Formats: sequence, structure tokens, C-alpha cells
Amino acid sequence: MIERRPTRSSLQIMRDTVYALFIRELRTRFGGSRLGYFWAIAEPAGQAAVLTTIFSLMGRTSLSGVEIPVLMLVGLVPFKLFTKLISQLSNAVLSNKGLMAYRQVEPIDPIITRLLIELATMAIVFVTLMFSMYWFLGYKVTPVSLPGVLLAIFLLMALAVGIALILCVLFEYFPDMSKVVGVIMTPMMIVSGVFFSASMVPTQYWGLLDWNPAFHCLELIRESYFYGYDPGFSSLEFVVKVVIIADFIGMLLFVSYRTKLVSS
Amino acid sequence: MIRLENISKWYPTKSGRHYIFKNIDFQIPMDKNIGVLGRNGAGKSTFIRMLGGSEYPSSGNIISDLRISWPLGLQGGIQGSMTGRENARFVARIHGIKNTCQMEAKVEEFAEIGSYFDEPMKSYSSGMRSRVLLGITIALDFDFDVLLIDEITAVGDAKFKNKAATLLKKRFASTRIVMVNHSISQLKNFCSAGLVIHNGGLKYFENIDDAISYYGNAS
Repeated sequence: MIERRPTRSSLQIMRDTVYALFIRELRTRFGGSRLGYFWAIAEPAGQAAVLTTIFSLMGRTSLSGVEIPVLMLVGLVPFKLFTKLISQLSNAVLSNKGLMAYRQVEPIDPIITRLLIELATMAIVFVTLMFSMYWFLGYKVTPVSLPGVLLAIFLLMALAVGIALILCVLFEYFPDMSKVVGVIMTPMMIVSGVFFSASMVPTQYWGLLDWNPAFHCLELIRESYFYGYDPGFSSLEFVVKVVIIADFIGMLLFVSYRTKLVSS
Repeated sequence: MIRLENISKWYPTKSGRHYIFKNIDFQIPMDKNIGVLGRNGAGKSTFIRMLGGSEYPSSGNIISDLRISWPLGLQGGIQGSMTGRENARFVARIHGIKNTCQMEAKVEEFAEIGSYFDEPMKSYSSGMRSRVLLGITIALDFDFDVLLIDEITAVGDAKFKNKAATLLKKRFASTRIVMVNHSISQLKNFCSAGLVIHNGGLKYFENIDDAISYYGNAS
């Protein structure tokens, strides 16, 4: 008589599947060599360090008591998470299509997997960089309000998830869209205020920037991070509204097209 | 028993919807091994993929309380960039098996592909792929009531075919199979009942020979 495995609830199946995908994703992304895991952290950390150095050299060394490199990193790392989430999550279903042949693997599973991987990477990169700035350079790196920072990062993440879910469905029908998205994302780093804040921009130009919820989020993060930071035009209410709309449309599309995302 | 409740399946084409199945209500008794017959493009693979949950019907439901495998075929279910071992581990994990060592060993032993087991599966021949795939299901201890087989036993050398046949037959007591195969002799070898897919309809025959002669006359 064959001994049967116990029946699992759909939540347990999802957990098992996400775990399997997680390991698989880590292996294919970093598993080429033992150095893979090192590069997973070192690559984004290096990018952040280089960009921060360049922009720090261009400007002053401190702004109302905040060291410029700290200011830069606090904007740059969450912004990298934002763009990385959009590109990784929007392609998650397409690049795992072969595995949808198993009934256990649902389209949402690779999305959850990649979300966990990107969040974990970002957290490690951020803490590592901040800690080294404190340890080696003696900068003050602790945020004024940690809950405020986490809330703003959460909103930025939720925004990226909403956009990515919409793109998932669009890519399925219009694969060329990915190129359009690439073109749009290129200037995002500049118009999202990674290296400057709204208060540095004359108020008559705010209309060019205040449509961008990512800019708002970065300002909210810095407002909670630094004492006395002027958040310019940023508005929590605006961000929350955009996030709700984006996530609502994203989930609606994703759920309605779920069965089509499965078939190859 | 597997119940198909008013299922339709269509694919979008340039000239509009191309229906494979239209409003089908059907019950498949799963007391015998079933060979699926149909012309190329009739929807044999689509049918088996829908049973296996790899694809959804465009409308309608497929209901069963049996444990049905994924379609064991030459496409899908395999990540070419992962090795045979990693694919085996992946399948074990999504089936809720935490300790995968035992499973890996079983697959390795069945597949008999030597060191290729640790090479990416995109470098495998089709025979090697089917060895690993069949090895994976066998290592899952046939924890299925229904095994879906899409041409997988059609490739491979004589020795592998024999080995696969012996193993499949040994498990007949507890597991039923639904099989697509272009070789009539293979179908007769494994299956006693037949299902013909013709003009978007399904017809079940208690005896595979009746199915074969119906299929011969119909096409």
C-alpha cells in the first residue's frame, strides 16, 4: 500500500510553492558561483556608493546638518527597490511560464517570490551601507522616525507592485510594451528627486514634478528620516490615493486574466 | 471520475476564435486506463493539459476529487536552465516534500543518465528528458490516482521503454493513466479503454479496440 502524503490547504500549497520558487530563483540568479551571493549585495551597494560619491562631490558636504552621502543613500536605495520591483515583478510570470504546467504553481507565486527576494536584498544593502557609513566615517545614520520611514517605503513598494501587476497582463498581450517601459523608466531617476529635493526647486516648477508619486514617496522617506527636513509639495494623502488606485487596477486585471497567464 | 461541466476551449486566431471544444458536458469514468485518440490538432494535448491543471478551459469547470498528476510530456514543467537534480528538487518541494535527498537519489537511479543529472536540462536529449521526468513521478511514489502521459513513453531506447512499461504496469492496481500516444501499439499495450476526440466532441469507449476502429473510420 502506498503511503499518501497528507492533503494540504491552498495556503500551505502556496507556501511550499513560493519556497520552491525562492530557492530556484536564488540558484539561477546567484548560484553560478559562490561569489554570486556576494555580488547580489555588492552590485547594488557598489552602484549606490558610486552614484552617492559623484553627487556628493558635485554639491556641498552637508545640508542642514545632514551629511550628503546619507541623504543620497536614503533616496537612492528605496528608488532602486522601486525600479527593480517594477522590472522584476512585471516579468515574473513570463519567465516562469514553463513551471505553470504544475497545477500548484499559480501566476501570483513568482510575483510573491520576487517581491520577497527584492525586499530582502534591499534591506541587507541598506543596512550594510548605513552601518559602514557609521562605522568608517562616523556619520549619524539613524532615522528620526523609523515607523514613518517604513510606512513611506511600504507605500513605494505597494505602488511598484500595482504598476507591475498591470504590466504583467499588458506584457502578456503586447510583449513590445517592455521596451516602452524601459524608455519611460530611464528618466525616472531624475524626475523622482533621487538627488535633489523639491525645496531646492523654485516653486513655479513644482507642477513639472508633483504628478510623480515616487517623488512624493522619496520626500516622505526623507522627511521621516531627517530632523527638520522640508518635504516641499509631498503629500501622504496623494500617495495613498495613487497606491490604492494602482493596486486596485493591478489586482483586478491580474485576477481577471489569471487563467490566461497560466497557458503558454 | 472526472467531470467536465460545460467546458469550452478556444484559442484566438487571426480569423477569430478557434474552438477546440465547445460546451462539452462529459464524465470520464476513471476505472480503466484510457488512451486518447485524435488527429493532429484535434486537442489531445490541450485536453490532457486541462485535466492536469496546466491550462484552464476558456469557460466551464473540470471537477474531480482524484489526485491527478501534471501532464508528463516533453514540453513544460521543466526549467532548461536548471539541472535534472534541481528540477527534481523543485517538483518535490511544490508537492510539499521537505527533505528532498531521498527523492533526488531515486530519480538519479531511475534516469541512469550519469553525470548529466547535474547538467542543465536544456542540454539533454529528448530521451534523457523523459527519463528524468518519469523518474520524478516514480520518485513521488505515484502519489496520484491518475497519471497523465503525453507522448513521454514514445521517446527513448528500447531498454528505457521496457523499464517504463514494467514500472507503469506494476502500479496499475492503484493508479490509472490517461495517455496520448501516436503509436497504436503503445496505446493497446497500456490502455483498455479509449477516448476519441473528433470535431470538437468526446466519445468514450469501454474497449480500446472499438475506439481505434471508430477513430479509423472517422478520420
